Amino acid sequence: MAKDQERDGNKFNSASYGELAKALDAYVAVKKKDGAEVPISSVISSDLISDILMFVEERPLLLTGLVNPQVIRVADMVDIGGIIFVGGKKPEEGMIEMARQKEMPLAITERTLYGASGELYKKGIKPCKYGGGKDLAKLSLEK
Amino acid sequence: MPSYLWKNDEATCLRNGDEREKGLKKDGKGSIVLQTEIEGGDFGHAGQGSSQLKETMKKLGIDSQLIKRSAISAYEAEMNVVIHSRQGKMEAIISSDKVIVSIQDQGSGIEDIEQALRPGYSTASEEVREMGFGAGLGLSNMKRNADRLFIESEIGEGTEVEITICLDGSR
Repeated sequence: MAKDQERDGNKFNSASYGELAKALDAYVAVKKKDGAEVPISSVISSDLISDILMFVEERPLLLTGLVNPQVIRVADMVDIGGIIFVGGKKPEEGMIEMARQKEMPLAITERTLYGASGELYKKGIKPCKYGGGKDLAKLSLEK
Repeated sequence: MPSYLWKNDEATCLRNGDEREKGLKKDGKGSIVLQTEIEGGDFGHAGQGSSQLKETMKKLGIDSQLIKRSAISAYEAEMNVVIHSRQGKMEAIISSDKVIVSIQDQGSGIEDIEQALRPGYSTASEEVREMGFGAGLGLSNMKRNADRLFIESEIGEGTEVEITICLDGSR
Protein backbone atom coordinates (compact mmCIF):
# COMPACT_ATOMS: atom_id res chain seq x y z
CA MET A 1 0.00 0.00 0.00
CA ALA A 2 1.30 3.39 -0.92
CA LYS A 3 1.08 6.34 1.45
CA ASP A 4 0.34 9.01 -1.08
CA GLN A 5 -2.27 11.40 0.16
CA GLU A 6 -2.85 13.79 2.98
CA ARG A 7 -6.16 15.29 4.08
CA ASP A 8 -7.15 17.08 7.28
CA GLY A 9 -3.69 16.34 8.66
CA ASN A 10 -4.17 12.57 8.22
CA LYS A 11 -2.13 10.36 5.95
CA PHE A 12 -4.21 8.19 3.66
CA ASN A 13 -3.35 5.18 1.55
CA SER A 14 -4.46 3.66 -1.69
CA ALA A 15 -4.71 -0.04 -2.47
CA SER A 16 -6.00 -2.29 -5.21
CA TYR A 17 -9.60 -3.53 -5.22
CA GLY A 18 -8.28 -7.07 -4.78
CA GLU A 19 -6.24 -6.14 -1.69
CA LEU A 20 -9.27 -4.50 -0.08
CA ALA A 21 -11.55 -7.45 -0.90
CA LYS A 22 -8.94 -9.72 0.70
CA ALA A 23 -8.78 -7.52 3.80
CA LEU A 24 -12.53 -8.08 4.22
CA ASP A 25 -12.28 -11.83 3.50
CA ALA A 26 -14.63 -11.17 0.60
CA TYR A 27 -15.46 -13.63 -2.18
CA VAL A 28 -14.74 -11.96 -5.53
CA ALA A 29 -17.52 -12.77 -8.04
CA VAL A 30 -16.57 -10.42 -10.91
CA LYS A 31 -13.17 -9.10 -12.03
CA LYS A 32 -12.10 -6.91 -14.94
CA LYS A 33 -12.01 -8.98 -18.18
CA ASP A 34 -8.26 -8.65 -18.56
CA GLY A 35 -7.76 -9.32 -14.84
CA ALA A 36 -6.38 -5.80 -14.33
CA GLU A 37 -6.45 -4.47 -10.77
CA VAL A 38 -8.39 -1.28 -10.00
CA PRO A 39 -6.57 1.20 -7.74
CA ILE A 40 -8.81 2.47 -4.93
CA SER A 41 -8.11 5.52 -2.78
CA SER A 42 -11.52 6.27 -1.25
CA VAL A 43 -14.63 4.47 0.03
CA ILE A 44 -18.40 5.09 0.02
CA SER A 45 -20.56 3.22 2.55
CA SER A 46 -24.24 3.67 1.72
CA ASP A 47 -27.57 1.89 1.28
CA LEU A 48 -29.28 4.76 -0.53
CA ILE A 49 -29.21 5.23 -4.32
CA SER A 50 -29.43 9.04 -4.35
CA ASP A 51 -26.77 9.18 -1.67
CA ILE A 52 -24.37 7.11 -3.81
CA LEU A 53 -24.96 9.61 -6.62
CA MET A 54 -23.80 12.46 -4.34
CA PHE A 55 -20.19 11.32 -4.04
CA VAL A 56 -17.76 13.21 -6.21
CA GLU A 57 -14.38 11.48 -6.39
CA GLU A 58 -13.09 9.27 -9.21
CA ARG A 59 -13.30 5.48 -8.86
CA PRO A 60 -14.18 4.99 -5.19
CA LEU A 61 -15.00 1.58 -3.70
CA LEU A 62 -18.69 1.10 -2.83
CA LEU A 63 -19.60 -0.84 0.32
CA THR A 64 -23.34 -1.51 0.42
CA GLY A 65 -25.99 -3.78 1.87
CA LEU A 66 -28.34 -2.81 -0.94
CA VAL A 67 -28.56 -5.67 -3.41
CA ASN A 68 -30.55 -4.94 -6.58
CA PRO A 69 -29.72 -4.30 -10.27
CA GLN A 70 -30.02 -0.53 -9.84
CA VAL A 71 -26.89 -0.57 -7.66
CA ILE A 72 -24.85 -1.89 -10.62
CA ARG A 73 -26.43 0.63 -13.00
CA VAL A 74 -25.76 3.56 -10.68
CA ALA A 75 -22.22 2.36 -9.91
CA ASP A 76 -21.47 2.21 -13.63
CA MET A 77 -23.01 5.63 -14.19
CA VAL A 78 -20.81 7.40 -11.65
CA ASP A 79 -17.65 5.38 -12.41
CA ILE A 80 -17.40 3.46 -9.15
CA GLY A 81 -14.15 1.45 -9.05
CA GLY A 82 -15.78 -1.68 -7.61
CA ILE A 83 -18.57 -2.92 -5.31
CA ILE A 84 -18.38 -5.06 -2.16
CA PHE A 85 -21.73 -6.28 -0.81
CA VAL A 86 -21.80 -6.53 2.98
CA GLY A 87 -23.67 -8.84 5.36
CA GLY A 88 -23.09 -11.88 3.13
CA LYS A 89 -25.88 -10.80 0.79
CA LYS A 90 -25.51 -12.63 -2.49
CA PRO A 91 -26.59 -10.91 -5.73
CA GLU A 92 -28.73 -12.85 -8.21
CA GLU A 93 -27.13 -14.32 -11.33
CA GLY A 94 -28.72 -11.57 -13.48
CA MET A 95 -26.94 -8.91 -11.44
CA ILE A 96 -23.61 -10.72 -11.65
CA GLU A 97 -24.06 -10.96 -15.44
CA MET A 98 -24.80 -7.21 -15.63
CA ALA A 99 -21.65 -6.46 -13.59
CA ARG A 100 -19.64 -8.71 -15.96
CA GLN A 101 -20.94 -6.86 -19.00
CA LYS A 102 -20.11 -3.50 -17.46
CA GLU A 103 -16.79 -4.82 -16.11
CA MET A 104 -17.72 -3.72 -12.61
CA PRO A 105 -15.66 -5.62 -9.99
CA LEU A 106 -17.98 -7.25 -7.48
CA ALA A 107 -17.39 -9.14 -4.22
CA ILE A 108 -19.32 -10.32 -1.17
CA THR A 109 -18.15 -10.07 2.46
CA GLU A 110 -19.84 -11.45 5.56
CA ARG A 111 -18.88 -8.34 7.53
CA THR A 112 -21.46 -5.68 8.32
CA LEU A 113 -21.45 -2.21 6.73
CA TYR A 114 -19.98 -0.68 9.88
CA GLY A 115 -17.46 -3.49 10.40
CA ALA A 116 -16.23 -3.41 6.79
CA SER A 117 -16.05 0.41 6.78
CA GLY A 118 -14.04 0.40 10.02
CA GLU A 119 -11.64 -2.21 8.68
CA LEU A 120 -10.89 -0.19 5.55
CA TYR A 121 -10.57 3.08 7.51
CA LYS A 122 -8.05 1.33 9.75
CA LYS A 123 -6.11 0.41 6.60
CA GLY A 124 -5.89 4.12 5.86
CA ILE A 125 -8.38 4.33 2.98
CA LYS A 126 -10.08 7.70 3.20
CA PRO A 127 -13.80 8.48 3.02
CA CYS A 128 -14.92 9.57 -0.47
CA LYS A 129 -15.67 13.28 -0.77
CA TYR A 130 -19.42 13.91 -0.48
CA GLY A 131 -21.38 16.50 -2.44
CA GLY A 132 -24.12 16.60 0.21
CA GLY A 133 -23.62 18.03 3.67
CA LYS A 134 -22.82 21.76 3.72
CA ASP A 135 -23.19 22.16 -0.07
CA LEU A 136 -26.62 20.55 0.01
CA ALA A 137 -27.75 22.69 2.93
CA LYS A 138 -26.67 25.75 0.95
CA LEU A 139 -28.58 24.58 -2.14
CA SER A 140 -31.74 23.95 -0.18
CA LEU A 141 -31.72 27.49 1.22
CA GLU A 142 -31.13 28.98 -2.21
CA LYS A 143 -34.25 30.22 -3.96
CA MET B 1 -49.73 25.37 -14.27
CA PRO B 2 -47.36 25.59 -11.27
CA SER B 3 -43.73 25.69 -12.34
CA TYR B 4 -40.22 26.19 -11.03
CA LEU B 5 -37.13 27.48 -12.81
CA TRP B 6 -33.55 27.57 -11.57
CA LYS B 7 -30.42 28.33 -13.55
CA ASN B 8 -26.74 28.81 -13.11
CA ASP B 9 -26.08 32.44 -14.08
CA GLU B 10 -22.48 31.60 -14.98
CA ALA B 11 -23.53 29.04 -17.59
CA THR B 12 -22.36 30.30 -20.97
CA CYS B 13 -24.59 28.08 -23.11
CA LEU B 14 -27.64 29.80 -21.60
CA ARG B 15 -26.52 33.28 -22.57
CA ASN B 16 -27.54 33.17 -26.21
CA GLY B 17 -30.91 34.71 -25.51
CA ASP B 18 -32.83 32.01 -27.37
CA GLU B 19 -34.73 30.80 -24.34
CA ARG B 20 -38.45 30.49 -24.44
CA GLU B 21 -40.50 31.07 -21.33
CA LYS B 22 -41.10 27.35 -20.92
CA GLY B 23 -38.31 25.31 -22.36
CA LEU B 24 -35.07 26.01 -24.17
CA LYS B 25 -35.19 26.31 -27.92
CA LYS B 26 -34.26 22.93 -29.31
CA ASP B 27 -32.16 23.29 -32.40
CA GLY B 28 -32.41 20.00 -34.25
CA LYS B 29 -29.55 20.65 -36.65
CA GLY B 30 -26.51 18.48 -36.03
CA SER B 31 -27.92 17.22 -32.74
CA ILE B 32 -28.24 13.65 -31.53
CA VAL B 33 -31.68 12.78 -30.20
CA LEU B 34 -32.26 9.81 -27.86
CA GLN B 35 -35.78 8.74 -26.93
CA THR B 36 -36.82 6.26 -24.24
CA GLU B 37 -40.22 5.07 -23.06
CA ILE B 38 -40.38 4.72 -19.27
CA GLU B 39 -42.68 2.21 -17.55
CA GLY B 40 -43.84 3.06 -14.04
CA GLY B 41 -42.80 0.47 -11.46
CA ASP B 42 -40.40 -1.34 -13.81
CA PHE B 43 -37.31 -1.39 -11.58
CA GLY B 44 -35.60 -4.04 -13.71
CA HIS B 45 -35.19 -1.90 -16.84
CA ALA B 46 -35.25 1.46 -15.09
CA GLY B 47 -32.39 3.78 -15.88
CA GLN B 48 -31.79 2.48 -19.42
CA GLY B 49 -32.34 5.92 -20.95
CA SER B 50 -29.70 7.47 -18.72
CA SER B 51 -27.27 4.61 -19.39
CA GLN B 52 -27.78 5.13 -23.12
CA LEU B 53 -27.15 8.87 -22.71
CA LYS B 54 -23.92 8.11 -20.87
CA GLU B 55 -22.71 5.63 -23.51
CA THR B 56 -23.54 8.01 -26.37
CA MET B 57 -21.72 10.94 -24.73
CA LYS B 58 -18.73 8.69 -24.06
CA LYS B 59 -18.58 7.71 -27.75
CA LEU B 60 -18.65 11.42 -28.66
CA GLY B 61 -15.55 11.93 -26.50
CA ILE B 62 -17.23 14.38 -24.12
CA ASP B 63 -15.44 15.17 -20.82
CA SER B 64 -16.12 12.53 -18.13
CA GLN B 65 -17.27 15.04 -15.50
CA LEU B 66 -19.88 16.45 -17.90
CA ILE B 67 -21.02 12.91 -18.74
CA LYS B 68 -21.34 12.09 -15.04
CA ARG B 69 -23.37 15.25 -14.33
CA SER B 70 -25.69 14.56 -17.29
CA ALA B 71 -26.14 10.88 -16.40
CA ILE B 72 -26.84 11.56 -12.70
CA SER B 73 -29.46 14.23 -13.33
CA ALA B 74 -31.11 12.20 -16.11
CA TYR B 75 -31.16 9.09 -13.90
CA GLU B 76 -32.79 10.90 -10.98
CA ALA B 77 -35.48 12.28 -13.30
CA GLU B 78 -36.01 8.89 -14.96
CA MET B 79 -36.34 7.14 -11.59
CA ASN B 80 -38.92 9.68 -10.44
CA VAL B 81 -41.16 8.47 -13.29
CA VAL B 82 -40.57 4.81 -12.37
CA ILE B 83 -41.33 5.53 -8.70
CA HIS B 84 -44.25 7.95 -8.97
CA SER B 85 -45.93 7.39 -12.35
CA ARG B 86 -47.62 4.88 -14.58
CA GLN B 87 -45.82 5.93 -17.71
CA GLY B 88 -43.53 8.54 -19.16
CA LYS B 89 -40.96 9.33 -21.79
CA MET B 90 -37.49 10.76 -21.87
CA GLU B 91 -35.86 12.69 -24.67
CA ALA B 92 -32.21 13.67 -24.57
CA ILE B 93 -30.77 16.06 -27.14
CA ILE B 94 -27.02 16.32 -27.40
CA SER B 95 -25.87 19.36 -29.38
CA SER B 96 -22.47 21.00 -29.70
CA ASP B 97 -22.82 23.26 -26.65
CA LYS B 98 -25.38 21.54 -24.40
CA VAL B 99 -27.37 18.48 -23.41
CA ILE B 100 -31.09 18.93 -22.82
CA VAL B 101 -32.96 16.10 -21.09
CA SER B 102 -36.77 16.39 -21.05
CA ILE B 103 -38.86 13.96 -19.06
CA GLN B 104 -42.64 13.92 -19.17
CA ASP B 105 -44.93 11.66 -17.22
CA GLN B 106 -48.58 10.86 -16.67
CA GLY B 107 -48.39 10.76 -12.91
CA SER B 108 -50.01 12.24 -9.88
CA GLY B 109 -48.12 15.53 -10.21
CA ILE B 110 -46.14 17.38 -7.51
CA GLU B 111 -48.28 19.11 -4.91
CA ASP B 112 -45.67 21.63 -3.76
CA ILE B 113 -42.54 21.91 -5.92
CA GLU B 114 -40.58 24.04 -3.40
CA GLN B 115 -41.24 21.43 -0.72
CA ALA B 116 -40.26 18.59 -3.07
CA LEU B 117 -36.93 20.33 -3.64
CA ARG B 118 -36.07 20.25 0.06
CA PRO B 119 -33.35 17.63 0.72
CA GLY B 120 -34.81 14.70 2.65
CA TYR B 121 -38.42 15.34 1.62
CA SER B 122 -39.93 12.27 -0.01
CA THR B 123 -43.36 10.80 -0.73
CA ALA B 124 -42.00 7.41 -1.88
CA SER B 125 -43.65 4.27 -0.52
CA GLU B 126 -42.03 1.96 2.05
CA GLU B 127 -41.62 -0.69 -0.67
CA VAL B 128 -39.68 1.71 -2.89
CA ARG B 129 -37.52 2.86 0.04
CA GLU B 130 -36.50 -0.74 0.71
CA MET B 131 -34.95 -0.76 -2.75
CA GLY B 132 -32.76 2.18 -1.77
CA PHE B 133 -34.87 4.94 -3.33
CA GLY B 134 -36.84 7.73 -1.71
CA ALA B 135 -33.93 9.41 0.08
CA GLY B 136 -35.48 12.76 -0.78
CA LEU B 137 -32.40 13.82 -2.70
CA GLY B 138 -33.61 13.40 -6.30
CA LEU B 139 -34.45 16.99 -7.21
CA SER B 140 -31.48 18.31 -5.15
CA ASN B 141 -29.21 16.01 -7.10
CA MET B 142 -30.63 17.30 -10.40
CA LYS B 143 -30.14 20.91 -9.29
CA ARG B 144 -26.61 20.19 -8.10
CA ASN B 145 -25.57 18.74 -11.46
CA ALA B 146 -27.57 20.83 -13.94
CA ASP B 147 -26.99 24.33 -15.29
CA ARG B 148 -30.71 24.83 -15.70
CA LEU B 149 -33.65 23.00 -14.16
CA PHE B 150 -37.23 23.59 -15.17
CA ILE B 151 -40.15 21.77 -13.52
CA GLU B 152 -43.81 22.07 -14.45
CA SER B 153 -46.44 20.00 -12.71
CA GLU B 154 -50.20 19.72 -12.50
CA ILE B 155 -51.96 17.64 -9.87
CA GLY B 156 -53.65 14.62 -11.47
CA GLU B 157 -52.12 15.40 -14.88
CA GLY B 158 -48.39 14.84 -14.64
CA THR B 159 -44.99 16.44 -14.49
CA GLU B 160 -42.47 17.74 -16.98
CA VAL B 161 -38.83 18.17 -16.02
CA GLU B 162 -36.23 19.75 -18.28
CA ILE B 163 -32.55 19.59 -17.40
CA THR B 164 -29.81 21.45 -19.27
CA ILE B 165 -26.08 20.87 -18.94
CA CYS B 166 -23.68 23.17 -20.78
CA LEU B 167 -20.86 21.29 -22.46
CA ASP B 168 -18.24 24.01 -22.14
CA GLY B 169 -17.65 22.99 -18.53
CA SER B 170 -18.46 26.41 -17.09
CA ARG B 171 -18.85 24.95 -13.61
